[in-house]
Amino acid sequence: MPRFFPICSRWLPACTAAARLALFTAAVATLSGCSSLGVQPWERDLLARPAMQLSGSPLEGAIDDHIYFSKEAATGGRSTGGGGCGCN
Amino acid sequence: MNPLNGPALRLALGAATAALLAPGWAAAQSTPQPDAKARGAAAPATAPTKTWQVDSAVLFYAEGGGRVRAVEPVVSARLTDGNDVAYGLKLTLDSLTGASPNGAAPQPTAQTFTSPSGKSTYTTAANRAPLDPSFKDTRVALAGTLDRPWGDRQRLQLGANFSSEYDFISAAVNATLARDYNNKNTTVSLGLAFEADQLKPVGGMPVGLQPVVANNHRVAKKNRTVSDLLLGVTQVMNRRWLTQLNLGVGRGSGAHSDPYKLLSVVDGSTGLLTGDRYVSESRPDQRSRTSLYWRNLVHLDRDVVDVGYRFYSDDWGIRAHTLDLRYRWQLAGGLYVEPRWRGYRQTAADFSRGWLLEGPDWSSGNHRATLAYASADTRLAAFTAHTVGIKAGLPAWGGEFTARVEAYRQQITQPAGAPGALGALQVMPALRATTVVLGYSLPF
Repeated sequence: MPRFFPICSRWLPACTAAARLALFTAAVATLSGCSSLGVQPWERDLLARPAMQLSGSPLEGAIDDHIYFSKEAATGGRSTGGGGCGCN
Repeated sequence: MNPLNGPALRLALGAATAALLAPGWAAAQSTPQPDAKARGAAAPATAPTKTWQVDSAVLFYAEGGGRVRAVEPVVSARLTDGNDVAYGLKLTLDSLTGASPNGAAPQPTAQTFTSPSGKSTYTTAANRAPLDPSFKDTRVALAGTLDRPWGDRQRLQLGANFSSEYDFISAAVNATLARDYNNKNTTVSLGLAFEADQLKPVGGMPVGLQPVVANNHRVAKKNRTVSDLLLGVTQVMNRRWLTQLNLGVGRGSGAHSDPYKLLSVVDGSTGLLTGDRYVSESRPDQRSRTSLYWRNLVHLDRDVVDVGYRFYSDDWGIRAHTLDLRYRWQLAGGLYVEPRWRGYRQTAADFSRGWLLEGPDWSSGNHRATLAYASADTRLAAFTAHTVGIKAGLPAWGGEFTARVEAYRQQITQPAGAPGALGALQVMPALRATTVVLGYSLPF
C-alpha cells in the first residue's frame, strides 16, 4: 500500500482507503461537474445502439465472472451481484 | 411576447421530453437495462405495453491435461411492464467433473493420497504435480431481480440469489440505487450486497494446519458471510464515448480455507517428503477487498472499442491488474465479429507457500506449524494469465445468435528457494483452458 500512496504507512491502514476514496471522489466531482461533457437528448443515436450498452451481454458477463472467480484471486469491480459459488 | 413562453419553446421541450423517454437514455444507466430494441418497444409515451426479453447461453469449459471440465447452461427471462418496471429471473445449472491440483508438491517418486471422502485412494506419477481426480459437482443457481423507477431521476434495483451444490450453499441479496444528473449524462450509483455461505465439504472441514491423517478432527459445516459496497459513476463523455468508474469494497468473514487443499512437508536439504508428510491448509478468517474498475466504450464510424481496466487489492497481500480489450467489428446485415484480449497479473498472498519445510515451517515432533497461515493453492500464487478469443453475432429468427471461443493460459511463478529435488520440478502446475459459449437472445 505505501507503494501506491507513499504518505500512508502500515500503521495507518485506514489512510490508504481514505486516499483512494478521495481520489475517487475527485474523479466523480470532475466528471459530474463538467457541464461541457455529455450530449443533448437528440444526440444519443450512437449511445442507444446495443453495442454501446454497458450491460450488453449480461449472461456472458456472469459466465466470465464465474470462470475468473474460480481461477484467479481478484474478483468484483463490475457489479455487486456475483458470488454464490464454492469454487474459491 | 416573451420568447421563453413561445410555442417554439414548448415544441422544443416536448421533443426533448420525447427523446428522454426514448431508448437512448438507457445508455447512461449503470444498472442493467433491457437492450435498446426491447426498451424501444417498452416505453413509448402513448401506448405502454409489456415486453419480454429471453436470453440463453451454454458454456463449455475444458482444462488441458485432463483437469476440470464444465458445462453450464443459463437461461434468463425479463418482463418489462408499461410502467418501466422490470422483473427478471435467471436459472443456472453447472456440471463439473475432472481433476484439480490438491496443493501437494511433486516428488521424484509416485505419491498416493486418500480422497476427501476417505473411501478411496489415488496415485500421482513421479515428477508430476498431484491432481485429485474426484472433483465432481453439480450446481443449481436461481436469481431474481426487480428494476424500477424511483422518483424522477432514480432507479432502484433489488436482487436475490440462491445457489446450491453438493458441498456448498449460498444465499445473497443486493440493492442498487442509481441517480441521474447533468441532463442524464451522469449517473451515480450505490450498490450493497450481502452473501451468506455454508460450506459442508466431503469428509468434513479440516482444522487448519493439522496433519492429514484418518480420524483427524474435522467440523461438518462452516459458515462465511461476504458484504460488498459498490460506488459507481457512469458518464456520457460525448456522442461516441461512454465511460464508467466503479469503486468496490468488500469484506468476507468466516471460513475461507479450501477444505480439499494440502501442503507437503519436505526436508530442507533433499526436498523429499518427511515427517507428517501432508498438512491441511489454513487461511485467515477475514478478507477485505478493494477494487477500482474503469471501462470505456467508444463508437467509431461503424465499430466499437471496449476497454476495461481493474485494479484489485486485498489484505492477504494480493494486488492484481486486469486489462480487457474488445473490438466489435460491425459487418453488413447485423453481423459482427469481436476479437478479445484479456491480460491479468497478480502477486502472491502473503501466506502462499509451495511446501512447508520441516523445522523452519513445521515440526513433525509436536505436529505444529510455526506459521499462522499457509496455502499452496495456485490461485493465491503469483501468476500472469492471458485470454485470447473471438466472438461472432448474427441476427437469427427475430433475435440474435452469438458464438464465442476463447483460450486461457496461466503462467505461474514457481516458489523461490526450492530445496533438493523440488528445484528441478514444476511445483505449481500451469493451466490452459478452452471456453466455448453459445448464446441466443430473443425480445418479444
